[in-house]
Amino acid sequence: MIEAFRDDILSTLTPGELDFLYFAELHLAEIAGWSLDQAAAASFASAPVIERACKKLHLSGYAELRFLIRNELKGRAIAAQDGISAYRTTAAQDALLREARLTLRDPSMALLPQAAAAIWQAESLVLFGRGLSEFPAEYLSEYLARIGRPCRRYLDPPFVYRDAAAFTDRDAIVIFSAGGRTIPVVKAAAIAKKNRATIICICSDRESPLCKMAGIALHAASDTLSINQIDLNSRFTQFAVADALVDELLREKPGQKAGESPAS
Amino acid sequence: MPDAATSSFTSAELVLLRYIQSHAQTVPDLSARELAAKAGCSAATVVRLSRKLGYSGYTEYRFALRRQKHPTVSAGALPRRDILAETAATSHLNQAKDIERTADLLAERDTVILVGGGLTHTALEYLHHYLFSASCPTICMPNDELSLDAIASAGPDAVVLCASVSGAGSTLSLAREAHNRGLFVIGITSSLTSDLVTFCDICLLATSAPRTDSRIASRLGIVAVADEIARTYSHRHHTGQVIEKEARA
Repeated sequence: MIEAFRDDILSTLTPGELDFLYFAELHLAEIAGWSLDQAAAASFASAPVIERACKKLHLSGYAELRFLIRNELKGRAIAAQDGISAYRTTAAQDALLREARLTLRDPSMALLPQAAAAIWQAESLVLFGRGLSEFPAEYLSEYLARIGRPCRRYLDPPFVYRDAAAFTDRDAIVIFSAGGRTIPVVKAAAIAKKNRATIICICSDRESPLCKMAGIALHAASDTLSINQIDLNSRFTQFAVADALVDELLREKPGQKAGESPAS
Repeated sequence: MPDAATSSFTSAELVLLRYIQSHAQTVPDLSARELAAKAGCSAATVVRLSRKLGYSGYTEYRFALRRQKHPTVSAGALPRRDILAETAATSHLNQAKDIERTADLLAERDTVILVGGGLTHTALEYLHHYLFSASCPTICMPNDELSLDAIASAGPDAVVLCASVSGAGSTLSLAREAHNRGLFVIGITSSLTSDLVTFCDICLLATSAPRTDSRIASRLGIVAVADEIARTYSHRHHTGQVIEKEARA
């Protein structure tokens, strides 16, 4: 609501009158039902302060302010309804299953035992994922901690660069990325590759620099969705690959013999 | 029982599912005929339910139940999971209209609180960040006292989404608190017998594959439901330029 008033008009309000306006902005639903006295009591402003603020805003009084607020709330409710497209959840479920099918039947899934072995054998293990890919990385790291293979997980490039720079051929990095082209992701992989560490990537683009650098590239198929240039690709299949990797890690756990329980 | 729970199951299958969940210790020792006799349904219902849950038949389902009953079975001896079948089962468990209603509520309400613990919290953080990227701010919290404070101070219009594989513990307490305060509660759980379903205005079900220890049980079903909500929201409530491209093999 506050954005409806011009700056030069708002600048004429006293601090007390502005305080009331900020309070009203935060309590639109309540103000819509309150009398002047109730609004004054709740906002710790006096009724004359509120009336004066309304006059300065070129309104006839508190009643007109309340009318404006009610209209604004009504408009929001209508906008929420108007914005709904005809998209149905069945389409979302179909897309999710199609992506899962493409991922889980991909030939790269045959590399899971190799990935699990590399993770168990690594002296130093780092997980890296940025943006929405941070969460499949977090999901895997939580399981790794619970099954006795702790790792370091980073969100910020400088820290992953620092660790990758100290890698040797006995270390490994697992990188989650939808596009496999963002600079921090490619740079981290490049540093790790230079130091001959094992690179495992879970990525949606086989042609990406990340996939080409990775020794073990696991494909996580995902539709591309960008709204207002913001990446909204689903990361479900990255989670699914991480989940399948946990199963494989449990199978490949060193010292795991049939009939023994894993020490988790 | 909310509608969602009855979405793809017949009433006989639902009765059977409840029987299985409340007799988890004895069911793995029963044949399909014995189970059908005890649950008061036909053997065909037992097989049909097993298939709907993503198993090839009752034999495979019974093996999964046995793994839950004897969690000390070695990891090396575990059969390969069919993650695709599990994902399909999660989609079949919920009615599309419940996911759509959930997505629309996220757009309509000013305050949406997401609550879950441990690995489930990670799944909800994914939903939280996805929705944030799609211009839908939510509050995501672990199932601790902070969540209790957030629920206690939330306005009457708030929506609380509680996710828990077991539908027990702190998340259940928080759902109860939200329900008692008259807030709209959405639940995501893998347990039909949990009290969580009784506190939910919308209850969404998710499969959860058992592993050698309940602490490391798969949360992929919860992620799948969260992902369906996120996709539905972003497609139904988007404004602005949309660029879409389907994934290919």
